[in-house]
Amino acid sequence: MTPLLSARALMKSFGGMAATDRVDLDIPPDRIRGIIGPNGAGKTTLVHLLTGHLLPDSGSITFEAQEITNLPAHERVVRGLCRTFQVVDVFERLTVYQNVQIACITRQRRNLRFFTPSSREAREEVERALNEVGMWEFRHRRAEQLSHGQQRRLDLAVTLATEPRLCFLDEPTSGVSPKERDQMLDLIRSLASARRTTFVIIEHDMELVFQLCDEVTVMHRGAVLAEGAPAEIRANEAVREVYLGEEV
Amino acid sequence: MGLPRLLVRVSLALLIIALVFAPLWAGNFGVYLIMQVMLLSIFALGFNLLLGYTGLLSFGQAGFFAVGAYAAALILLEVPSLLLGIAGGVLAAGLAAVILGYLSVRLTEIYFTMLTLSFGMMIFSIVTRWRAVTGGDDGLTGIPRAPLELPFISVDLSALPNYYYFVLLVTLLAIWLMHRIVNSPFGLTLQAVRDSGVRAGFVGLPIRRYRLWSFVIAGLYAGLAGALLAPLERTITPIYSHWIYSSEPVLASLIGGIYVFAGPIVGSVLFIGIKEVVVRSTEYWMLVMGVIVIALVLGFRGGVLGRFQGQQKGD
Amino acid sequence: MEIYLYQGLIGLTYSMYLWLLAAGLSIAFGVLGILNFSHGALFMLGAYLAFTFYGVLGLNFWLAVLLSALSVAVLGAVLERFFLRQIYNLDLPFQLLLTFGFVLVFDDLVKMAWGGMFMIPPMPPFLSGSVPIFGRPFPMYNLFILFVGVAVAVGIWLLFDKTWWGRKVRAAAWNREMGGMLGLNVPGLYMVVFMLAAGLAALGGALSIPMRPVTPGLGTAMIIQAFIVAVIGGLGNLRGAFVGAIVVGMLTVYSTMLFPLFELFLPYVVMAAVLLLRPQGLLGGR
Repeated sequence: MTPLLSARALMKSFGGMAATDRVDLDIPPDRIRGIIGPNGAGKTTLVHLLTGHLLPDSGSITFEAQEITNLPAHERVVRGLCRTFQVVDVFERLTVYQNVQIACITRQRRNLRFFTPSSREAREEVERALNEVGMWEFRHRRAEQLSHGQQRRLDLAVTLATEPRLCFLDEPTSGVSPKERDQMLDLIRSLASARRTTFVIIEHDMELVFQLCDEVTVMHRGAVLAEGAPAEIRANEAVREVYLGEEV
Repeated sequence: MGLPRLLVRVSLALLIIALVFAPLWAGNFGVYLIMQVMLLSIFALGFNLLLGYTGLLSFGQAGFFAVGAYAAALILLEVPSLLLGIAGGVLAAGLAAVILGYLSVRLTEIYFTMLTLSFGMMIFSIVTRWRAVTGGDDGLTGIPRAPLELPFISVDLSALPNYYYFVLLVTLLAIWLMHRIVNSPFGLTLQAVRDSGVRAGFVGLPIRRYRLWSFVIAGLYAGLAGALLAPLERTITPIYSHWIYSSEPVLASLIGGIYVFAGPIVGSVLFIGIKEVVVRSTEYWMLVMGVIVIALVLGFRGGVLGRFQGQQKGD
Repeated sequence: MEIYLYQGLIGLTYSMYLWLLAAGLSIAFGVLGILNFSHGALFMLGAYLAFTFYGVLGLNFWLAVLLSALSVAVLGAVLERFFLRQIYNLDLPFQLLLTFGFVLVFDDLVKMAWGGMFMIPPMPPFLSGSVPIFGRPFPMYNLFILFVGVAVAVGIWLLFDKTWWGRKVRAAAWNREMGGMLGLNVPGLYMVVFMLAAGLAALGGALSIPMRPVTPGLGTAMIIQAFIVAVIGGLGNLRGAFVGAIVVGMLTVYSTMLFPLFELFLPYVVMAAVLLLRPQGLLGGR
């Protein structure tokens, strides 16, 4: 199976410190991938590089067989590569409805309509996207008035409204209650089976990743330490050492 | 929602009727003041597309105002056609905004503000020193209120009330157009860029391009206000390009409320109104304005219209 | 040739004014994170107060300068305590607008108190006269300003880099929470820093009175100069402000001499170029 996304020898350093050190990575389609590692392992930097939030010092990235190494983030989104951030980021003064609508308008390339009312745009898509994450009833609220857990779901809805083929979720459950966490996991599972979106979950919580993912990549000190099914990773000596070493 | 909306429409209609008959009830000076308010409204509406809708604070808008005013004046001094003069002024300001905007939107926050300040002051320096064209510190004088040349008919606008009707028409058109713009998909896009540039990038938006669009529209509006001013005052001087003048749309928008469409318009009414009232009893109107600005920032950042904003955003 | 060297010295004198002006602006931005639009107005207040103490009340020149700097520093404490302290968490436009409100208030207060006239007090006798340099008479007062500028630069450098207090300020700069966690009295530090910034502005203003007329428009003219200098050096960067002051001072003097048509224009070009090519400023590290 050809991978959806692959990275080769991806390198990024900050002030002489390699945050990602010659990382090779293949993400095959239609399986939930987890990327784990202790704090400072380089997970987030890797995702920044893959999604265009940062540009690598060297190495290459291909997406659906096309080179995207130095493409700006917004052009990657247009090609079907999207993400959420660790810290929830929504359009806070816009309503829930408008938050999703802006993603739909952008996907349909209708942003440069100057004189028609925006309220008419993309009605069905917005309704579908908001129902999918259970946020339709809050559509009139401004995003800044939502609870943190609701903002997380809205963030996800906005991201999905770009219709990504591949979607990175950076710690999608950080800062939400245990109940909301379980809801979020169910939601990701059902979205993964209902859409043709491949999810990559970045986490430092191993248990969450083992529950949710089909494949797991473990990072340590900027490099890939191990890769495989959750059971293999659980049994891997090197991984246990890193995690035990960190937790003691 | 039905009743308030009806109320708004009825009051708008009454306001427009009152404005149409203003030359009958306001006298020459009143008409002149209303025109000041209308020009500042156009200027501030454009400015606030940048600040309130795109999140960029420009302190150089007077530069584009002046480009519009000087270009219109230079054309009118050569060719007695009002439409040509106004159109020329607007286009010149738009052109300046494309060039300076292309550079400005690379920066954000305080750096954007400082860059627009320096661009505005560059225009001020040119206007002051390029005597042969701009008349230097003395400015340009004797700008005619040229007739409005329409197919088959030429309307004489030299009398103040006649020119007033022209400005009223243009102002209503500009307000209506801006209302369409901010409520369009484009307007929504700008607000997304304002709220979070990073997030906007990750829904697929090239944010600089939209900041530039916003910058250019703001420049066109500033140019329009400037171009309309030239035949009104008949004299223009470099003060219209100085950064102090750039602060007028800033203050008007802030007073009215930067997150409400009508904020800059209401703010313009208040700005000119307060100035006029205070000046009657004391020359220290800036002091009053300063106290108002400080109170607004500390107390009600939404401006006078901000209180209604919660309800407005609902639908 | 000598005329160029002589003009260079004149330019350096002007640079030292700009430095005294921009130092406080830079300190306030670097520590408090607030770009103070009213910094030029504080400079003007310093000039007016010094004029009153020295030119009207006939106090000793040194005492007049000191008193005006201290008075404006106290005013700075009031501004920080009752106004700035409430806006540290606001968005930049609102911060800028609040301090712009001060500009409007101070401009009119000055007009109320002193009227709109040009005023030039006499030169203090012991600083009048001139010494021959490069075959031309160079005013004593200019030499004095050169000396003050360098002394203030050294003083500020020692204060921030070599004292315990300076270390505390640097720890509290920009990050109130962090400073608070370290057990620092952050609000107190911020207030004193802003007093220092305001006092420096007033010192510059007070020292300028024998050289340039005191007018109500002085504040708005000076703030734009301060912005140019601070931006060229890098906003919030003190050493940068010193370098920026020298760049702008020299540029102004030589362009007035060589291409007077562009004397007004050039500083803005340099400012814009720095913003576009090195927004962190000539000496900025980031």
